[in-house]
Amino acid sequence: MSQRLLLALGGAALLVAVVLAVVLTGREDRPGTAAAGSGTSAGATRSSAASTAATQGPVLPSSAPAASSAGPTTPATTTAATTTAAGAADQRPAELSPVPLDAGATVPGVVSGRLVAVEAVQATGSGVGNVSGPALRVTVELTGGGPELSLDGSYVELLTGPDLAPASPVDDPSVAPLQGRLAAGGTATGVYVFSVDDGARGDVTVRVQPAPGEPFLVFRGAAG
Amino acid sequence: MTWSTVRRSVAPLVLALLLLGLAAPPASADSAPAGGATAATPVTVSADPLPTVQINGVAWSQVVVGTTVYVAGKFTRARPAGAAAGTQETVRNNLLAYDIRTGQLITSFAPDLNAQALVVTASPDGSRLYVGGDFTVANGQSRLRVAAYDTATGALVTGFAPAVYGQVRALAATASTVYAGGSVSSVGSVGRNRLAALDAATGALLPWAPQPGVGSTAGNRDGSTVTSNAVLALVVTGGGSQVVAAGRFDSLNGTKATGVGALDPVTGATRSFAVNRLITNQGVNSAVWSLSTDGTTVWGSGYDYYGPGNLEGAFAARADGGGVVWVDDCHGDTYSTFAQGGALYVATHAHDCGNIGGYPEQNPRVNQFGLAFSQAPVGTVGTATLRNRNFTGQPAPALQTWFPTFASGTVTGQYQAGWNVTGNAQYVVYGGEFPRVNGTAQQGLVRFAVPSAAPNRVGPAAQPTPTASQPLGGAARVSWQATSDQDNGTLVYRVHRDGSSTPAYQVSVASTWWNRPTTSWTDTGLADGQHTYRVSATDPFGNTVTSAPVTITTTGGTTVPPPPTTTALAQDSFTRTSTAGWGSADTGGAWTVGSTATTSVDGSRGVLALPAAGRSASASLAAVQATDVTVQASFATSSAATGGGTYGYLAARQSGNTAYRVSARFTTTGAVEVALVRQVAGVETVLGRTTLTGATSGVVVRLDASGTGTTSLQVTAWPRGGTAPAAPQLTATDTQAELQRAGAVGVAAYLSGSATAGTQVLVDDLWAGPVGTRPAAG
Repeated sequence: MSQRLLLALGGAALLVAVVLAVVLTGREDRPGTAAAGSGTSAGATRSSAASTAATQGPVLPSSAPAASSAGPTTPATTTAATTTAAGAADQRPAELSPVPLDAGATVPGVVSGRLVAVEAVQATGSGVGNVSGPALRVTVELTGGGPELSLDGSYVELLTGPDLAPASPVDDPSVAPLQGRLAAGGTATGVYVFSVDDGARGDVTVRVQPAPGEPFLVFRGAAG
Repeated sequence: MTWSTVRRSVAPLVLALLLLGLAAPPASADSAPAGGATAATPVTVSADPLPTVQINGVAWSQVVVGTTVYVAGKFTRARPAGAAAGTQETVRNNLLAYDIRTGQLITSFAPDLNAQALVVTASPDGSRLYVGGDFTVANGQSRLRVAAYDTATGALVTGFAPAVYGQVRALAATASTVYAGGSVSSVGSVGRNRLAALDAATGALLPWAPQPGVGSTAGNRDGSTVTSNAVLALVVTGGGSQVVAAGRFDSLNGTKATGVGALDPVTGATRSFAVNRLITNQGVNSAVWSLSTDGTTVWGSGYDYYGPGNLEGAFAARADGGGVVWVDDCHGDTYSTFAQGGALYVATHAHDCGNIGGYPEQNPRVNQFGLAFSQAPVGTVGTATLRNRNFTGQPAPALQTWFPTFASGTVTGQYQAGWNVTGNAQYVVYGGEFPRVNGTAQQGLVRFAVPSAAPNRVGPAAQPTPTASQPLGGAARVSWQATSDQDNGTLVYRVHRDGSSTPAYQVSVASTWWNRPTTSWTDTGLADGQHTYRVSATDPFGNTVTSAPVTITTTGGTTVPPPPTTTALAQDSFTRTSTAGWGSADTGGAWTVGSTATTSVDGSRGVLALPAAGRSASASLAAVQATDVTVQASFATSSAATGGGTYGYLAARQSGNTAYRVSARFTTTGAVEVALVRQVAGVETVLGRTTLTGATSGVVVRLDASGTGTTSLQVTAWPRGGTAPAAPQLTATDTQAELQRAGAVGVAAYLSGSATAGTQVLVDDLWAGPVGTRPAAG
């Protein structure tokens, strides 16, 4: 039943994403004071505006993928919001501005990443929170770009539509989250499955956080 | 120290006695237990499904605050009980509340979550509802996977908005702290390893950061090398003095803690929780799914699917130290537990409870989605455990006669029914994906009530289908197989002759859906001609089913004297069939068997199965309480003895594993060694011994016991088919204090540890009467 949809990845279209990136650093999202929607939610409902704001921390520009540069990237001008001091618990991590699903993104000096595949599958879940059925299977590849990094605290989520509605993860047997340590230049792959109906695949956002507090790599596009 | 060491060094008879004393009792209790409520037979809720608001998806979690049930799940609409899908709907996105007394949606609470919710819990004072899951927006406000609602106003709590990254599966709250678990990787920009604690007032992250660790993948039988340390359940115990976590982890802070463990509520330090040294559920293929608590006892439940796990049922452990209270070794994933009124209710799909004396695996398989157990330990877990023998010999609860039927659902693609069970003192509520309960459309949510608040309309499942025959002149034998009842273990059967409203005979018979014994009653002194009989079955609430009439024409009524009246306290000719358990004796009430898996009736004999060396089986008539008593029975074996032989036992004054007994050991030479035994708390003393030869088709043994203070004992034994000797072969007197009182009548069997093949002990013509009397047939 598995139908491979996407992504024999090339390195195109990345510059476009960089150009379109909007830096919104320093905006604090407070409950009840949701800011107006960002560009992706124009014309959306009140709810969608709120959700867009809710999900995002500060947005950073995307960088070229590590795959297109030789060796670890040099420290970039944009500093990741890797706050670790007291008060960090209140601070939502930054995120890179979205790149297409088949593009790469880099947190300079930390990691670069891409989606190796986004596939339509029939997921098989077990237990509370799991719904078997139509799903997208996302294969994430990260390449180390700085000091050795533990991926045990990595986090990958999938959201759909302009409202960035969360898709629920499925404990499908093919799931194999990013784990272990990632050295500079090394690569690691993780597989994630999310319940996504056929009709919700036109606007898919995949957000990848390599480690707590690190910016999210954001991939967005149509998966169907 | 191994079992074989014990076997070589201790007399096998003693072992047999020890084993017999540990056997689990049969299912019995229900919504009106025969003989009244006891710790083993608490009064359960009735099996009547009460009308309840329905959902168009799946409920994953519930919590009751006062009379309000809060339901978290994956759904978008609610509709009233009785409404067809798609009609009379009210929008409710993934969270709703209903009144536990009426089952009606609470319209004033209208939360809205933009993705599924997996867990709800309440603050200790009930003022707050905490919800967790996959959502990022609650009531239009940013809430990353955790939110709080004011239960008084229904409003989202504005000051509680932690940014949690990773799925939230578990929440537990004290007045000051909210503990969260799941696949959590960080809160805000601070890393957390599946567990986090939040300030209840501000939502601020607290320093509490225990470290669940992954276990070996070697036990994965599907070859998976993926690991997980996800947390799936949390409770606080002792008024907030401890946190107990469960899930897929194998350690906590580097200390071995498989599937479940206890933590300091402030420092996060690991505390001992002994049951986690028996449980082997961990990793991506097995886990401890759920926890519930009353503050001092913790109940958990687990699953295994191609993993290393040994727990698919539930366990009960003391909150302080995690010592085992009992293990419900029913096989079939178990998702949730709730303790109420001496019983523990579970959401499960258990298909085999044979290892704790409940229903054995059926063919085709039968899944029970809702079960109840005694909170009290009653029996022991047998040897047919999953994966390893860690639970064998542990205390086990008694399965209760409470079997509502849930239809499995299609919402999740997992074909389950209930995913969660909770309640209050009067109600037990299930949530899940079931479309029907007891055959009535009722989607996703349902209530059950204690008998005083229930309609109690669930009665005997089917009308009896009696047969009639003429065993002798002027007599009619009426036989019927018992029906069963979803919430009553004992039904009264009445036989009505020739249309009379007054029953000619009535008898109470214990039955369950998997064990429906056949009862026979002989009506004598009939006038020649046609007679009709109807048999009715009635539960304790008066729900009655009545059979169609069965007709027989009898003859010879004037030439045959009525059969002699008997003074028997107990009599059983075993002319019925039962594949699990012994049913009820012809006289003397229901047999209590050690295990339904090793006891059956084949139409002419009671079978005590001994499938392997060292195994035992037992049955007793608890209702026959006698002091001065003669007991008699015949014993045979289905195959020649091997090793140290095959034992049959006949007991008087039995209580637990204290009794006067006659043992008959069938030896490899063909001789039968007969011994008079005093058994006290499993320890036996032989009071006399003799050997019988020529007993090729079995042996009849008789035990006379009389007197208190000093009991006189006599044993008479003779080959089956022969005649009884005039004088007893063994006589003794005994003053053992524990035995100077009335007790039950029982039989048992044991296969010596050195036997090389399984066998059966076949019991027939059991009889008991006042001491000195004899069966009518000799």
